[in-house]
Amino acid sequence: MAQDNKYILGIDTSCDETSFAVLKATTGEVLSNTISSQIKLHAPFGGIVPELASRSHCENISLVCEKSLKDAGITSAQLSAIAVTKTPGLIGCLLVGASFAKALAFQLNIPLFGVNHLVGHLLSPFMGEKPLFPCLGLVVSGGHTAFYDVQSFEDISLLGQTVDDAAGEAFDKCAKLLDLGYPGGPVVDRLAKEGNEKAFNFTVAKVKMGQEYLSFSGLKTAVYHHVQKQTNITEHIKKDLCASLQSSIVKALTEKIAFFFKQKKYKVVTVSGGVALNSLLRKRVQEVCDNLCVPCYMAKPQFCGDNGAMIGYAALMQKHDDELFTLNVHASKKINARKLKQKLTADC
Amino acid sequence: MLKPYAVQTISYDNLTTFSKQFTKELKPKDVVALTGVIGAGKTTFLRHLLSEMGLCLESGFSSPTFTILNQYELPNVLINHIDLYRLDSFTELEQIDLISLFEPTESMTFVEWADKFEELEPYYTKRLHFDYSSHSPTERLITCYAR
Repeated sequence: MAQDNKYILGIDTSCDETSFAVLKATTGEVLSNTISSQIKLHAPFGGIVPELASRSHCENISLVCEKSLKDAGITSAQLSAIAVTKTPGLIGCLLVGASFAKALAFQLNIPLFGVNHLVGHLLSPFMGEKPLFPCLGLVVSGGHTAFYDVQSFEDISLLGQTVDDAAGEAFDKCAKLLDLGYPGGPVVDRLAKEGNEKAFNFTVAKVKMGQEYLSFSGLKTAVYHHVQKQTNITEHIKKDLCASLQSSIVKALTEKIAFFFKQKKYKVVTVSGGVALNSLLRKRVQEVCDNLCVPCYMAKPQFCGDNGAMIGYAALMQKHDDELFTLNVHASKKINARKLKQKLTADC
Repeated sequence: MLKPYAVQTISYDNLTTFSKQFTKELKPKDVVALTGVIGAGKTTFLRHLLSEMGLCLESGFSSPTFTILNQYELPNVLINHIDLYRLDSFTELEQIDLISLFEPTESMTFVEWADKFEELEPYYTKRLHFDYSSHSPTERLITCYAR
């Protein structure tokens, strides 16, 4: 097979989404990135089923895989490797992806990589860019808020993280308290644009364990008490509350970027994960990086949420020798047991 | 049926004392329900409790609202920390094979938003219900339930 005809299939089933992507193995170019919640199914007797059942990976997986290959314009026979998320995530969900990937790799007699989901997010801002090291990476989503020291594609250490809620959870739960619906992040972002971020004072929490940690759980309580105090929560107050709480979350994150940058000079700062879609975060991180005279890469919007493309990309970047190309990929049930400074490797 | 046996007013500062006291009541195989509205202190309580039980907080503790399940290996016992907040149906629990963690095993299980699905009620051995207090923003009323 000619070198430029090599394709890798990236698979992620770690939590809510079943996602497949096809990438050119030589360049990392993403040819398709298919996510289950975006697929509309035509019901047999007319009408459209809103979306595939969330987390029902078993039911979704073949369909999403077929669509991803079709969108990329290739057949499974043209694949030269497969990459799948092996950890962290829900064991039942990971197993569906890993089993499917193993079976397909075995059938096609091609290599299989196991990828750490967080490494996938962490490296995703490099997609389509020139990777720079050392890199200060922020992964910020509904489930994770953590800063990493990325020395190379394989040498990654955790610098600090939240001790309770992730930033995305803070957005969603505060939105719930304000009766704004789910997912709350995008609604808060939209309403905040019309609000005054100085209207309410939400202080950034200090964590006793050390400056490398963040805490967002106090925000919910603060919003709860503000809501209780008001006799009538007008649209105007809601907008001000959204602007103020968003500004506090963003401040907590940007302050930490400056804090870690002061300790070590990095060549680039990256931001990835679902909350990287937040417009104020993108703006303020850019400002902080401009002040620090360091370039900033933010994950492209289509690669912020969980997706297969980042898994394929991480596998392409992390592979060094044929050792990784084995069928010996197991989903791991252990999550969140990482120690500070402990390395995140392709195999953890 | 779980019955209430105590109501305590706890401030953030004496959460450690309360956690210490509650640790003594826990047994392996316990499936503990944690209930109460957003921000009532379920996750914060559990962070204090697991720290009392030997969890090194530096190794990572976080809310499982989005991840649904976090597991911690303590010196003597495996802890399952489950959050049902984002689940819409009991079927989803089965789809992601979470239901097996409610069966008595050698591990200890804590479940936030435990009252979302009636089907789970028989599994719980203890329950703590968290309420905001009208006296102070840092105070909570905790109602303890047992069989």
